[in-house]
Formats: sequence, C-alpha cells, structure tokens
Amino acid sequence: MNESVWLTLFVIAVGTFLIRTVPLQIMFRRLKKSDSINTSKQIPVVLSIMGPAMIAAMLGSSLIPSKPSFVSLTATLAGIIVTLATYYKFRTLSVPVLLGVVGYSVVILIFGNP
Amino acid sequence: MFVAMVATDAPTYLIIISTLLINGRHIVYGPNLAPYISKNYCWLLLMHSLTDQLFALAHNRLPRLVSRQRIAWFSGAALTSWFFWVLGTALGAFMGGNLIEQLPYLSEAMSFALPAFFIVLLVPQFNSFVWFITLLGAVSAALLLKLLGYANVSILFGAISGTALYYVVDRIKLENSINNE
Repeated sequence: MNESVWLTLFVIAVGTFLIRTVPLQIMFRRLKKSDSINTSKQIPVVLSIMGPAMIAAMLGSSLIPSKPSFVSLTATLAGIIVTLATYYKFRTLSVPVLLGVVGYSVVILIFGNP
Repeated sequence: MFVAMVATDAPTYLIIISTLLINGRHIVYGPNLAPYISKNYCWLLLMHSLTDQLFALAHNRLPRLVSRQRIAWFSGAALTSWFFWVLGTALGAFMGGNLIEQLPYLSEAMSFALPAFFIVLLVPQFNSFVWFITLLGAVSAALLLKLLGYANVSILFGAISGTALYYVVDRIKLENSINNE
C-alpha cells in the first residue's frame, strides 16, 4: 500500500476514535456531575432508545444474504427460527448462535449452495 | 467499503468522508455505556475497539458485572474480537478465493453467525409493546433500505425510524390513558 493509503487510514482511525470517545466522555462527566448533586443518573431518553434501535437496525441489515435467492432466504428463515427456539429453551448467548448457524447450514446443504 | 473505494481509486477526501459518515452511527454507543464505566484512563484506550458487535455485547453484559470486573471483561472481549478479525482478514488475504472454493458451505454458513448473534442480544429487549414496535420497526426499515440498494445508510435510518416509532407509540399510549381517565 502506498503512503496516501496509510495516511487515509490514520485519519479515519483518529476520526472514528473521536466519534466513539468524545460522546462517552461528555456523558460520563454529565452523569458524574448529576451524581454529585444527587440527581438521578440517567442518559437522555433518545440516546437510550437509539442504542438498542441501532442493534436492531444492524440485525435488519445483516439478515439480507450476500447472494439473495430462494435457498439463502429459506436458510435465513430456518436459522432465525432455530436461534429463537434455542434461546427460549436455554437462555444463553452461544448455544442459540451455534445452533442457528447449524440450522442455516442444514438448509444450504439440503438445497445446495446458492 | 473502505477497501472497495481504495481499489477503485476514489479520491482520498471522499474515502475519508464516506467512511466517517458510516462510522457516525457509533456516536450513540459511548453515551449508552457511560453509566457503566469508571474514571480509569484504560477506558479511553478501550474505546478504540468499540465496534457494533462489541457495543451490542457490552450493552448486554456490563450492567450485570460488578464495577471492578468491567475493564477486564471489556479488554478480553476487545482483544478476542480483534484477534479473530485480524486472523480472518489475514486468511482471506493470503488464501483468497481458494478458501471459498474449498469450503463454500462453511463461508456461507458462517455468514449467519452475525444476525444470529444480534437476535440473541435483542430478544431480551422485546419486553413491552412500545419496544416491540420500536425494534421491529428498526429491523424492518433497515432490511427494506438494504433491499432497495441503500446499504450504506440502512443502519442509521433504520435506527432513526425505530426511535421515531418509539415516540409515536408512547404518545398514543399517553393520549389513550388520558382519554380513559
């Protein structure tokens, strides 16, 4: 890679770091200040909604297979059902993910790679 | 997206602006984790690793840990995800298409690991009608935007749509409860 790519990477790294760190520090100081004057420790409602909403949006975006087809969409549906069923049975993080991937794989293996 | 833009010789300023705009969604992650961090300067360094997946995991896990365990947990999660990210990238770079040709089912199957992970983290949040509508709305909006070809903005606008739905449903509930009194 040439020098301009490294420089671009550095600028993006610094910018992304600031995007992650500055809001955190602002909110942390705000919470500490409210804590010191005995007000309730709460982040603004809109931010507390956007956090989970962002995760939900990432789920929606990641559900679309890289090669959408009948097979991959059926496999996605099967994976979702297996993941949810396993979560409600075991209430853990890793087992539902593992079995969801297995459920997805079974459909791919049965119908062939899209 | 960064790799694609560099590979097509896009202007440097455009690569920087586009990447930072897409990474702009991380702006809400820090404030959501602020109640769970301490004054320790390690947190500043650890924020360098605050990816979407690590935020989703930390948002779920940090509230359940005692304060003194949080830095250690976050550091472990960050290093683990970095290690596998670098390993996967290196494998892809050195083995390239050969890996996909030899293990086509594996690469296709592993693509479902990410949505499965988000499903598991999100399910506990569906704990009321207003959150059900909010999160389902965000999922649906992002999914629709990506299907229509707006992949780069699907996450941000999906989240905004879900948040707007929260306020709409909350307002309707409030008006209904006032009318019933």
